[in-house]
Amino acid sequence: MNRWLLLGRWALQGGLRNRRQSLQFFMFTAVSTYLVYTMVPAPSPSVWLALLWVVVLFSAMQSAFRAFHEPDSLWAYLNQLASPAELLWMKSTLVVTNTAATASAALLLFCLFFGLPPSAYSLNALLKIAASILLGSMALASTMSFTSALASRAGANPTLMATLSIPLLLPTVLVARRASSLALANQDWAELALPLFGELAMLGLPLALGSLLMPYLWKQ
Amino acid sequence: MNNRLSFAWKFSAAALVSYSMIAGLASSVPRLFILNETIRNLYFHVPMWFTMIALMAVSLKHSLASLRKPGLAALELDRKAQLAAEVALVFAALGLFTGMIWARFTWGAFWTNDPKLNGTAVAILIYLAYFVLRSSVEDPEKRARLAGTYNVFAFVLMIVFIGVLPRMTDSLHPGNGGNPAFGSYDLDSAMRAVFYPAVFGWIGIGLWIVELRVRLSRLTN
Repeated sequence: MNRWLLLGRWALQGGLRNRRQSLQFFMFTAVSTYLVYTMVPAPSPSVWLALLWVVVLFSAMQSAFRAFHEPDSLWAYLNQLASPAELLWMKSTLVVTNTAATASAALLLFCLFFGLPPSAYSLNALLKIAASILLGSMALASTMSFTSALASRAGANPTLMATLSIPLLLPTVLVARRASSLALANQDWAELALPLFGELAMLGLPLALGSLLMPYLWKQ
Repeated sequence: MNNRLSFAWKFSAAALVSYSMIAGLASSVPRLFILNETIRNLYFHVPMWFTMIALMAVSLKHSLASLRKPGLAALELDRKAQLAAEVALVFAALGLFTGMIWARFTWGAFWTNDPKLNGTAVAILIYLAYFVLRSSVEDPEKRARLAGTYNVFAFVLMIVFIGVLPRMTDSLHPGNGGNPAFGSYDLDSAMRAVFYPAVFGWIGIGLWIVELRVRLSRLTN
């Protein structure tokens, strides 16, 4: 328990120390949204959603890529403090939180710049959209946490991280797109339940698999 | 005894594939609307995917074993995993090619934005990424460890994607999105007599190619 508290405190302190990095992610999201707005000022609902997911995906990738970038001395300390699976959980929690914050920011910015599509003008619809976007972005982050650990072991190459992640992210993107398009059309929660459950599964599965594989990956 | 067994399964695989090739083109098939003669593609397209999955499972098995073993044994198993994945990718390309030809004559286009088709694209991309990962690590032991973990991680996610997710969405592909699979009513017993031998035969041929490649790589290394 004490070890978990220590890890949690370390992660929180790390997050606070890297406020400039969080600002960078937010700026990346804001600038991409504005760029998209200048190019497509009045998108159709499906284009609105596609653009939002593109912005969220690349913001999440930025966040995940840096997750396992730490000095060797710090890794030496952390490796004594926690098992590889615990390290993955800690880093995944950070990446998932960062990505959820970035996705919320992207959603807000999209509402600000483009407005909501007419079918989503209700609190209920907005809740559904937020739930599907947040769960989807967290699912993307959980897959990318593991590929980020892999890429960091293979020499921390950003192109490699993207090459390894994108094929694995496609399933999550497709499920998330389905969930969010149903939410955007303000379908019933019952209709939305299966894709939301799919997003939840895509969040849990990589974490569970990653926990099993991390000891092999992290072996020196 | 081992040699006899080895000869027997290889001979059986070759015989089953030869039989399925001849019977697949010459035997009678049900006359179905739209499908017509293209239903014969079942004998050539679907076995490619079964073989691909079987060889990827073989690659996964070797990767899992290589993660548990130290030193040279891990390297040998990793090489087997790589070679099985390479042959699986060839079968994936054949499956894609035969599927695209079938789609052109049945759906009117070589490619559609269909969950099943996206699944196959994802499977191919995942294994291409696996080879990119392998080529980007110099140290053989590290390469075996990283490639092994990625292979296991990717295989499980891929199976979820191609097996489960298409059933959650609408799809034109037989067996998905409310469309009947060949097994439910299109596939009569005469077709089964060609289809199943084709599946087992091609899986045998795939395993044989992997075995030959492993032996060849031992000689060249």
